[in-house]
Amino acid sequence: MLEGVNVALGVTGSIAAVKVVELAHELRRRGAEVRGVLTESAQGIVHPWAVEFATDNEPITDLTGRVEHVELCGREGWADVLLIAPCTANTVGKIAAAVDDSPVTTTATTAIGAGVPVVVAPAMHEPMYDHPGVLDAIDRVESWGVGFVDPRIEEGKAKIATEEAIVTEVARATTPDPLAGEHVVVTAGATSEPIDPIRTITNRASGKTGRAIARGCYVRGADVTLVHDGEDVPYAHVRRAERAAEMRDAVLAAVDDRADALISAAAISDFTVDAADTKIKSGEARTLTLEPAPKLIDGVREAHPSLPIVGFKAETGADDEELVEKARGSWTVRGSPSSSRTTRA
Amino acid sequence: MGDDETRVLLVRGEGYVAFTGSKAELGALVAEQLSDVLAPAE
Repeated sequence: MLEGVNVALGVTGSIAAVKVVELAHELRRRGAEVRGVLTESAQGIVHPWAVEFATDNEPITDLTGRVEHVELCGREGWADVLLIAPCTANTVGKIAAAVDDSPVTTTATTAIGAGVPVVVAPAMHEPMYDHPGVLDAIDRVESWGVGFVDPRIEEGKAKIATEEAIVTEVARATTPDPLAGEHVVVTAGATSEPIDPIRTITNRASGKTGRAIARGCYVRGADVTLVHDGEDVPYAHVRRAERAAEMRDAVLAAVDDRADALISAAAISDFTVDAADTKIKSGEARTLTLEPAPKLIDGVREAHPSLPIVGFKAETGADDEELVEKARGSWTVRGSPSSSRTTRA
Repeated sequence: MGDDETRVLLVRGEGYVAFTGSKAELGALVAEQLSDVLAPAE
Protein backbone atom coordinates (compact mmCIF):
# COMPACT_ATOMS: atom_id res chain seq x y z
CA MET A 1 0.00 0.00 0.00
CA LEU A 2 2.90 2.38 0.72
CA GLU A 3 5.67 0.80 -1.37
CA GLY A 4 8.24 3.44 -2.31
CA VAL A 5 6.58 6.18 -0.24
CA ASN A 6 8.81 8.42 1.90
CA VAL A 7 7.04 9.51 5.08
CA ALA A 8 8.29 12.37 7.26
CA LEU A 9 6.77 11.51 10.62
CA GLY A 10 6.26 14.54 12.87
CA VAL A 11 5.82 13.72 16.55
CA THR A 12 4.55 16.26 19.09
CA GLY A 13 4.12 16.30 22.86
CA SER A 14 1.00 14.22 23.42
CA ILE A 15 1.10 11.09 25.56
CA ALA A 16 0.02 9.31 22.36
CA ALA A 17 3.64 9.79 21.26
CA VAL A 18 4.29 6.49 23.07
CA LYS A 19 2.56 4.82 20.11
CA VAL A 20 4.95 6.25 17.53
CA VAL A 21 7.21 3.19 17.54
CA GLU A 22 4.29 0.92 16.59
CA LEU A 23 3.05 3.43 14.02
CA ALA A 24 6.49 3.71 12.39
CA HIS A 25 6.74 -0.08 12.25
CA GLU A 26 3.31 -0.31 10.61
CA LEU A 27 4.21 2.32 8.01
CA ARG A 28 7.39 0.41 7.18
CA ARG A 29 5.56 -2.92 7.14
CA ARG A 30 3.31 -1.40 4.45
CA GLY A 31 6.37 -0.49 2.39
CA ALA A 32 7.16 3.10 3.43
CA GLU A 33 10.51 4.59 4.43
CA VAL A 34 10.14 6.77 7.52
CA ARG A 35 12.15 9.63 9.03
CA GLY A 36 11.12 11.11 12.36
CA VAL A 37 10.88 14.78 13.31
CA LEU A 38 10.39 15.42 17.03
CA THR A 39 9.45 18.49 19.04
CA GLU A 40 11.23 19.07 22.33
CA SER A 41 8.03 18.12 24.19
CA ALA A 42 7.79 14.87 22.24
CA GLN A 43 11.35 14.01 23.30
CA GLY A 44 10.14 14.13 26.90
CA ILE A 45 7.71 11.32 26.11
CA VAL A 46 9.51 9.17 23.55
CA HIS A 47 13.29 9.03 23.35
CA PRO A 48 14.82 9.84 19.93
CA TRP A 49 16.67 6.51 20.10
CA ALA A 50 13.32 4.70 20.11
CA VAL A 51 12.28 6.59 16.99
CA GLU A 52 15.66 5.89 15.38
CA PHE A 53 15.23 2.19 16.15
CA ALA A 54 11.66 2.16 14.79
CA THR A 55 12.46 4.06 11.58
CA ASP A 56 16.03 2.90 10.96
CA ASN A 57 16.84 6.58 10.38
CA GLU A 58 18.26 9.22 12.70
CA PRO A 59 15.39 11.53 13.71
CA ILE A 60 15.47 15.30 13.45
CA THR A 61 15.32 16.83 16.91
CA ASP A 62 16.55 20.32 16.08
CA LEU A 63 16.89 22.47 12.99
CA THR A 64 20.46 23.37 12.09
CA GLY A 65 22.44 24.85 9.23
CA ARG A 66 21.50 21.78 7.18
CA VAL A 67 17.95 23.28 6.93
CA GLU A 68 16.48 19.86 7.63
CA HIS A 69 12.87 21.06 7.16
CA VAL A 70 13.64 22.04 3.53
CA GLU A 71 15.69 18.88 2.95
CA LEU A 72 12.68 16.87 4.07
CA CYS A 73 9.65 18.82 2.83
CA GLY A 74 10.87 21.49 0.45
CA ARG A 75 9.84 21.55 -3.21
CA GLU A 76 12.52 19.00 -4.13
CA GLY A 77 12.54 17.45 -0.68
CA TRP A 78 12.85 13.82 0.38
CA ALA A 79 9.31 13.30 1.68
CA ASP A 80 6.25 12.30 -0.34
CA VAL A 81 4.06 13.15 2.64
CA LEU A 82 4.34 14.75 6.07
CA LEU A 83 2.41 12.83 8.72
CA ILE A 84 2.03 14.53 12.10
CA ALA A 85 1.02 11.87 14.61
CA PRO A 86 0.21 12.64 17.31
CA CYS A 87 -0.59 16.32 16.77
CA THR A 88 -1.41 18.39 19.85
CA ALA A 89 -3.89 21.28 20.02
CA ASN A 90 -0.85 23.52 20.47
CA THR A 91 0.76 22.35 17.23
CA VAL A 92 -2.38 22.47 15.09
CA GLY A 93 -3.02 26.02 16.35
CA LYS A 94 0.49 27.05 15.40
CA ILE A 95 0.25 25.44 11.96
CA ALA A 96 -3.00 27.36 11.36
CA ALA A 97 -1.19 30.59 12.20
CA ALA A 98 1.97 29.64 10.24
CA VAL A 99 4.01 29.84 13.44
CA ASP A 100 7.37 28.08 13.10
CA ASP A 101 8.87 27.50 16.51
CA SER A 102 9.67 23.80 16.49
CA PRO A 103 11.07 21.24 14.04
CA VAL A 104 7.53 19.95 13.42
CA THR A 105 5.74 23.29 12.89
CA THR A 106 8.56 24.55 10.67
CA THR A 107 8.47 21.35 8.60
CA ALA A 108 4.67 21.66 8.34
CA THR A 109 4.82 25.25 7.10
CA THR A 110 7.46 24.22 4.56
CA ALA A 111 5.41 21.23 3.37
CA ILE A 112 2.17 23.18 2.97
CA GLY A 113 3.96 25.92 1.07
CA ALA A 114 5.75 23.41 -1.16
CA GLY A 115 2.61 21.44 -1.95
CA VAL A 116 3.78 18.30 -0.14
CA PRO A 117 0.73 16.37 1.14
CA VAL A 118 0.20 16.68 4.89
CA VAL A 119 -1.81 14.31 7.09
CA VAL A 120 -2.58 15.21 10.72
CA ALA A 121 -3.70 12.81 13.46
CA PRO A 122 -4.83 14.93 16.44
CA ALA A 123 -4.67 13.65 20.02
CA MET A 124 -5.64 15.65 23.10
CA HIS A 125 -8.02 15.74 26.05
CA GLU A 126 -11.59 16.03 24.84
CA PRO A 127 -12.31 19.54 26.25
CA MET A 128 -9.36 20.82 24.21
CA TYR A 129 -10.85 19.20 21.12
CA ASP A 130 -14.10 21.07 21.87
CA HIS A 131 -12.37 24.46 22.11
CA PRO A 132 -13.71 26.72 19.37
CA GLY A 133 -10.23 28.02 18.65
CA VAL A 134 -8.88 24.50 18.16
CA LEU A 135 -11.83 23.60 15.92
CA ASP A 136 -11.31 26.80 13.92
CA ALA A 137 -7.63 25.93 13.54
CA ILE A 138 -8.49 22.44 12.29
CA ASP A 139 -11.02 23.87 9.81
CA ARG A 140 -8.49 26.43 8.60
CA VAL A 141 -5.70 23.89 8.12
CA GLU A 142 -8.14 21.44 6.50
CA SER A 143 -9.19 24.16 4.03
CA TRP A 144 -5.59 24.18 2.77
CA GLY A 145 -5.96 20.56 1.65
CA VAL A 146 -4.43 18.98 4.76
CA GLY A 147 -5.97 15.60 5.60
CA PHE A 148 -7.16 14.98 9.17
CA VAL A 149 -7.59 11.54 10.69
CA ASP A 150 -10.36 12.01 13.22
CA PRO A 151 -9.51 10.97 16.78
CA ARG A 152 -11.50 8.38 18.72
CA ILE A 153 -13.55 10.04 21.47
CA GLU A 154 -13.18 7.66 24.43
CA GLU A 155 -12.88 8.09 28.21
CA GLY A 156 -12.97 11.88 27.99
CA LYS A 157 -10.10 11.94 25.53
CA ALA A 158 -9.75 12.56 21.83
CA LYS A 159 -7.45 9.56 21.40
CA ILE A 160 -5.23 9.27 18.37
CA ALA A 161 -6.84 7.34 15.49
CA THR A 162 -5.99 3.70 14.93
CA GLU A 163 -2.87 2.72 12.98
CA GLU A 164 -5.17 1.35 10.26
CA ALA A 165 -6.93 4.71 9.90
CA ILE A 166 -3.67 6.67 9.83
CA VAL A 167 -1.95 4.36 7.33
CA THR A 168 -5.03 4.43 5.08
CA GLU A 169 -5.11 8.24 5.10
CA VAL A 170 -1.39 8.40 4.30
CA ALA A 171 -2.02 6.02 1.37
CA ARG A 172 -4.90 8.20 0.14
CA ALA A 173 -2.68 11.28 0.33
CA THR A 174 0.08 9.67 -1.74
CA THR A 175 -1.89 7.61 -4.30
CA PRO A 176 -3.29 8.96 -7.61
CA ASP A 177 -7.04 9.56 -7.24
CA PRO A 178 -8.79 8.34 -10.42
CA LEU A 179 -11.93 7.67 -8.36
CA ALA A 180 -12.16 11.19 -6.90
CA GLY A 181 -15.76 12.39 -6.96
CA GLU A 182 -17.12 8.86 -7.41
CA HIS A 183 -19.41 7.23 -4.86
CA VAL A 184 -18.81 3.49 -4.72
CA VAL A 185 -21.06 1.12 -2.78
CA VAL A 186 -19.37 -2.10 -1.61
CA THR A 187 -20.86 -5.12 0.15
CA ALA A 188 -18.75 -7.42 2.31
CA GLY A 189 -18.91 -10.52 4.48
CA ALA A 190 -21.67 -12.99 5.09
CA THR A 191 -25.35 -12.44 5.68
CA SER A 192 -27.21 -14.69 8.08
CA GLU A 193 -30.82 -15.82 8.23
CA PRO A 194 -32.41 -16.50 11.63
CA ILE A 195 -33.92 -19.91 12.29
CA ASP A 196 -35.13 -18.79 15.70
CA PRO A 197 -34.11 -15.97 18.10
CA ILE A 198 -30.87 -17.83 18.91
CA ARG A 199 -29.72 -19.65 15.76
CA THR A 200 -28.92 -18.66 12.21
CA ILE A 201 -27.84 -20.20 8.92
CA THR A 202 -25.04 -18.38 7.21
CA ASN A 203 -22.14 -18.61 4.72
CA ARG A 204 -18.41 -18.87 5.23
CA ALA A 205 -17.06 -15.37 4.58
CA SER A 206 -14.71 -13.17 6.63
CA GLY A 207 -15.51 -9.94 4.76
CA LYS A 208 -11.79 -9.32 4.12
CA THR A 209 -12.20 -9.15 0.35
CA GLY A 210 -15.01 -6.60 0.45
CA ARG A 211 -13.22 -4.48 3.04
CA ALA A 212 -10.00 -4.58 0.99
CA ILE A 213 -11.92 -3.40 -2.07
CA ALA A 214 -13.62 -0.63 -0.10
CA ARG A 215 -10.24 0.50 1.19
CA GLY A 216 -8.71 0.26 -2.30
CA CYS A 217 -11.43 2.52 -3.69
CA TYR A 218 -11.08 5.00 -0.80
CA VAL A 219 -7.32 5.19 -1.22
CA ARG A 220 -7.88 6.08 -4.90
CA GLY A 221 -10.12 8.99 -3.96
CA ALA A 222 -13.63 7.50 -3.88
CA ASP A 223 -16.33 8.23 -1.36
CA VAL A 224 -17.24 4.72 -0.19
CA THR A 225 -20.30 3.19 1.47
CA LEU A 226 -19.69 -0.25 2.95
CA VAL A 227 -22.72 -2.46 3.59
CA HIS A 228 -21.92 -5.32 5.96
CA ASP A 229 -22.73 -6.94 9.28
CA GLY A 230 -19.68 -5.54 11.01
CA GLU A 231 -17.94 -2.68 12.74
CA ASP A 232 -17.31 0.87 11.58
CA VAL A 233 -14.23 1.29 9.40
CA PRO A 234 -12.17 4.45 8.85
CA TYR A 235 -12.39 4.37 5.05
CA ALA A 236 -16.15 4.13 4.46
CA HIS A 237 -19.59 5.09 5.67
CA VAL A 238 -21.03 1.89 7.09
CA ARG A 239 -24.61 0.67 6.67
CA ARG A 240 -25.26 -2.46 8.70
CA ALA A 241 -27.23 -5.38 7.32
CA GLU A 242 -27.57 -8.86 8.81
CA ARG A 243 -30.09 -10.62 6.55
CA ALA A 244 -30.08 -10.86 2.75
CA ALA A 245 -33.23 -8.73 2.52
CA GLU A 246 -31.69 -6.10 4.82
CA MET A 247 -28.56 -6.01 2.68
CA ARG A 248 -30.62 -5.56 -0.48
CA ASP A 249 -32.60 -2.71 1.14
CA ALA A 250 -29.45 -1.05 2.49
CA VAL A 251 -27.72 -1.23 -0.88
CA LEU A 252 -30.75 0.11 -2.71
CA ALA A 253 -30.95 3.01 -0.24
CA ALA A 254 -27.25 3.78 -0.68
CA VAL A 255 -27.47 3.55 -4.46
CA ASP A 256 -30.64 5.66 -4.51
CA ASP A 257 -28.75 8.41 -2.64
CA ARG A 258 -26.27 8.51 -5.51
CA ALA A 259 -23.82 5.89 -6.62
CA ASP A 260 -21.44 5.59 -9.54
CA ALA A 261 -20.77 1.87 -9.07
CA LEU A 262 -21.72 -1.15 -6.95
CA ILE A 263 -19.25 -3.86 -6.00
CA SER A 264 -21.13 -6.81 -4.57
CA ALA A 265 -18.47 -8.83 -2.75
CA ALA A 266 -20.64 -10.15 0.08
CA ALA A 267 -21.53 -13.82 0.43
CA ILE A 268 -25.26 -13.25 0.51
CA SER A 269 -27.57 -16.03 1.62
CA ASP A 270 -29.28 -17.72 -1.31
CA PHE A 271 -31.98 -19.02 1.01
CA THR A 272 -34.04 -17.72 3.86
CA VAL A 273 -36.14 -19.49 6.49
CA ASP A 274 -39.44 -18.73 8.16
CA ALA A 275 -37.97 -18.15 11.63
CA ALA A 276 -39.61 -19.51 14.78
CA ASP A 277 -40.69 -16.92 17.35
CA THR A 278 -39.13 -18.86 20.22
CA LYS A 279 -36.07 -21.06 20.51
CA ILE A 280 -36.58 -24.41 18.78
CA LYS A 281 -36.18 -27.24 21.26
CA SER A 282 -33.11 -29.39 20.77
CA GLY A 283 -32.89 -33.16 20.89
CA GLU A 284 -35.15 -34.05 17.98
CA ALA A 285 -34.88 -34.02 14.20
CA ARG A 286 -36.10 -30.91 12.36
CA THR A 287 -36.75 -30.09 8.74
CA LEU A 288 -36.15 -26.54 7.56
CA THR A 289 -37.79 -25.25 4.39
CA LEU A 290 -35.31 -23.05 2.53
CA GLU A 291 -36.99 -20.37 0.47
CA PRO A 292 -35.02 -18.42 -2.18
CA ALA A 293 -33.72 -15.12 -0.83
CA PRO A 294 -34.01 -11.97 -2.95
CA LYS A 295 -31.12 -11.49 -5.41
CA LEU A 296 -29.38 -8.23 -4.63
CA ILE A 297 -27.90 -7.58 -8.05
CA ASP A 298 -31.22 -8.26 -9.80
CA GLY A 299 -32.97 -5.72 -7.59
CA VAL A 300 -30.32 -3.05 -8.12
CA ARG A 301 -30.15 -3.70 -11.86
CA GLU A 302 -33.92 -3.31 -12.16
CA ALA A 303 -33.88 0.02 -10.32
CA HIS A 304 -30.65 1.32 -11.91
CA PRO A 305 -30.22 -0.24 -15.37
CA SER A 306 -27.05 1.67 -16.30
CA LEU A 307 -25.17 1.43 -12.99
CA PRO A 308 -21.78 -0.34 -13.36
CA ILE A 309 -21.91 -3.45 -11.16
CA VAL A 310 -19.11 -5.81 -10.19
CA GLY A 311 -20.43 -9.12 -8.87
CA PHE A 312 -18.55 -11.84 -7.01
CA LYS A 313 -19.48 -15.50 -7.09
CA ALA A 314 -17.78 -18.36 -5.28
CA GLU A 315 -17.70 -21.66 -7.15
CA THR A 316 -16.32 -25.15 -6.57
CA GLY A 317 -15.44 -28.04 -8.86
CA ALA A 318 -14.98 -26.13 -12.12
CA ASP A 319 -11.97 -25.31 -14.28
CA ASP A 320 -11.16 -21.78 -15.42
CA GLU A 321 -12.99 -22.04 -18.74
CA GLU A 322 -16.15 -23.24 -17.02
CA LEU A 323 -15.88 -20.44 -14.46
CA VAL A 324 -15.53 -17.80 -17.18
CA GLU A 325 -18.50 -19.30 -19.00
CA LYS A 326 -20.58 -19.17 -15.82
CA ALA A 327 -19.60 -15.55 -15.22
CA ARG A 328 -20.60 -14.57 -18.75
CA GLY A 329 -23.83 -16.56 -18.36
CA SER A 330 -24.77 -14.43 -15.38
CA TRP A 331 -24.38 -11.29 -17.55
CA THR A 332 -26.82 -12.73 -20.08
CA VAL A 333 -29.31 -13.51 -17.38
CA ARG A 334 -29.07 -9.99 -15.98
CA GLY A 335 -28.74 -8.31 -19.36
CA SER A 336 -26.06 -5.86 -18.30
CA PRO A 337 -23.27 -4.96 -20.73
CA SER A 338 -21.49 -2.85 -18.11
CA SER A 339 -21.26 -5.55 -15.46
CA SER A 340 -18.15 -7.48 -14.72
CA ARG A 341 -17.95 -10.61 -12.69
CA THR A 342 -15.21 -11.98 -10.51
CA THR A 343 -15.33 -15.65 -9.74
CA ARG A 344 -13.51 -17.15 -6.80
CA ALA A 345 -11.97 -20.48 -7.69
CA MET B 1 -4.59 -21.10 0.68
CA GLY B 2 -3.90 -19.03 3.79
CA ASP B 3 -6.44 -16.77 5.46
CA ASP B 4 -5.43 -13.77 3.39
CA GLU B 5 -4.77 -15.59 0.10
CA THR B 6 -7.38 -15.85 -2.60
CA ARG B 7 -7.70 -16.92 -6.23
CA VAL B 8 -10.04 -14.96 -8.47
CA LEU B 9 -10.86 -14.84 -12.15
CA LEU B 10 -11.71 -11.27 -13.06
CA VAL B 11 -13.97 -11.54 -16.10
CA ARG B 12 -14.52 -8.37 -18.07
CA GLY B 13 -15.51 -7.82 -21.69
CA GLU B 14 -13.88 -10.36 -23.97
CA GLY B 15 -11.05 -11.29 -21.64
CA TYR B 16 -10.31 -12.31 -18.11
CA VAL B 17 -7.46 -12.04 -15.63
CA ALA B 18 -6.50 -14.87 -13.28
CA PHE B 19 -5.38 -13.40 -9.97
CA THR B 20 -3.73 -15.18 -7.05
CA GLY B 21 -2.52 -13.18 -4.10
CA SER B 22 -3.52 -11.37 -0.96
CA LYS B 23 -6.96 -9.88 -0.49
CA ALA B 24 -5.35 -6.46 -0.01
CA GLU B 25 -3.76 -6.78 -3.47
CA LEU B 26 -7.09 -7.92 -4.89
CA GLY B 27 -8.76 -4.84 -3.40
CA ALA B 28 -6.25 -2.61 -5.16
CA LEU B 29 -6.70 -4.50 -8.46
CA VAL B 30 -10.49 -4.23 -8.37
CA ALA B 31 -10.28 -0.51 -7.55
CA GLU B 32 -7.89 0.03 -10.48
CA GLN B 33 -10.18 -1.90 -12.84
CA LEU B 34 -13.16 0.13 -11.63
CA SER B 35 -11.21 3.32 -12.39
CA ASP B 36 -10.81 2.09 -15.97
CA VAL B 37 -14.53 1.34 -16.25
CA LEU B 38 -15.63 4.72 -14.91
CA ALA B 39 -13.06 6.84 -16.74
CA PRO B 40 -14.48 6.63 -20.31
CA ALA B 41 -17.95 7.62 -19.11
CA GLU B 42 -16.73 11.02 -17.96
